[in-house]
Amino acid sequence: THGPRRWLDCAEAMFEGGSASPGGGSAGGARSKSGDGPALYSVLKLDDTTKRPMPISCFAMNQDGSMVAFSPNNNEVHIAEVKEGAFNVLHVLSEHDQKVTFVDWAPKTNRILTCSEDRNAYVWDFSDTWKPTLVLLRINRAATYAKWSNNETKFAVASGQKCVAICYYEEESNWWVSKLVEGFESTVLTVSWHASDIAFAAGSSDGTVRLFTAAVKGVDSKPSQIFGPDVSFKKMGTEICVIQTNAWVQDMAFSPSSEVLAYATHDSSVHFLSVPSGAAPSQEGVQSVRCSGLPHRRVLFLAEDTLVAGGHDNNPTLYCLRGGKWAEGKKLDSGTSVKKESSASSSARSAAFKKFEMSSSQGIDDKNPEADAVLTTVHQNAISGLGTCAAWKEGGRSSKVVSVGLDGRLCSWPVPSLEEAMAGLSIGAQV
Amino acid sequence: MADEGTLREAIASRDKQVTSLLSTPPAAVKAALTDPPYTSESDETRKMSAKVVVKALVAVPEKEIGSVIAGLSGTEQDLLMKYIYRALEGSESSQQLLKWHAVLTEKAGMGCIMRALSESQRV
Repeated sequence: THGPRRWLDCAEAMFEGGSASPGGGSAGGARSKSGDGPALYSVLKLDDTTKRPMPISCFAMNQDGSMVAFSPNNNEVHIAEVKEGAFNVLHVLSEHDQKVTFVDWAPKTNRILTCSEDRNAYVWDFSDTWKPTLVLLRINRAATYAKWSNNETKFAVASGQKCVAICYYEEESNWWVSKLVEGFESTVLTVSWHASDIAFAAGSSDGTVRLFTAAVKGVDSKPSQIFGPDVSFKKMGTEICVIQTNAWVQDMAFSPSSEVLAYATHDSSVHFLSVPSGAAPSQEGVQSVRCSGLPHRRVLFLAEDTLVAGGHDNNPTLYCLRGGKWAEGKKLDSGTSVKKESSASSSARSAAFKKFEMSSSQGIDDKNPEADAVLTTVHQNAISGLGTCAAWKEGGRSSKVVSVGLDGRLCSWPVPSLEEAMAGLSIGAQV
Repeated sequence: MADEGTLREAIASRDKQVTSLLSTPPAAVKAALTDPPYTSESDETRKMSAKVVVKALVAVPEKEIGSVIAGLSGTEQDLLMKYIYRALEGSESSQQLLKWHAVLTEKAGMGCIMRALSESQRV
């Protein structure tokens, strides 16, 4: 069957012909026109009524890449095991009342952290099933982002209440305690922990990136003056520095050594802030890279000198450090794998259906519907999650990265070497 | 906060410089893109500044637009995109401005447009 592979056709074919796995998770994915190439992508979850792929709003992987946790843009979190490229949903975590905004999987302690627009966060432990522990964040706006600290004894939750909740486990009360760190002027969109776990960075829609101290007595050992003598760790939540940007800060990540803080902003730029030891970071330490495409939504460090960013371009892009300068590198999707199919055999009914659907959902006029009906990238919508795991790291470098998108697709990409990523690219994209 | 008078004088001198360079389009465009009036609080001043840039852009023959853009640095390209949007607010030279917009988008990408729209420093 090499007729037009519209989304609905693909989904129907997969659901009818695929195995009956719990939760309606589908196996494999559409194949390229040659018919016998490897599957380009997998669809994580099909909607039960419409049978269309559900957008994935957040995503996390466990330590060895054998299981994934994702939310199909609703109040549930699905845990699926990965077997030969197929995803079988084993558990559905549904304690949240509202949309789940972020999922983070602690690799060493195997705990899952979820946060949601219902102003709550849950910590999930696994023993036969996933058991939730409610964390009272004491916020009165949605939680937008949540991250475990590196040693997994604390976590940070960003919220629309212009603050970050730092949570740690108090043994006496058998309870997760939350302390709010204020200072932002608008919704906090992203958080990243410094390698030392006594400081974290957060980015907000007020266009700033701020670093704060987060040393908790009883949980952390005595903090050393990693930012110099002027920054005291006595009081939790002390502001270390404020870095200005031009637009919303969409996502950020500390490099493995925490010498660099990378953050993607909504003005199609990726910035790299140098975080030296012995002094607080400053505006002068920012290197800005202008992106050629649309803004990125997620960033992830694959090695000390390589960052992958994915977003509204539907294409994971590498950013590499060479000679002390960061620059935009290769895009992981070359744009050649998706073949445009001819519609010679489409029926009149499906052609008419397609014409109206394309014009209402994607703004494509009916003069030439075939030309733009399918994007050349494997992802057909924005990338909303990037993941890699410890098992895929060779010598401190990730060899594989996975991206999920609002189109419901999960794609796996091999990571090229630094030389390959930078080959043939001029350094002209620098400010 | 420089006062409007100083800014307008700077624009006037930039205007003279551009007029003298009109025979060599790439140099004229580069000269027009120097010293944008970010701190101005007057719409009039900004319109004057945009006029200078449009004068330089319009003087470039269509075939050479691509090579002129290629000769600009990344920051200058972003600034040019901002000016194009500012100039498109008026009704003169729209056709040529749209041609510049199309070539600039092709060379600098959609990111350039995003930056022009989200920059807090308005031209």
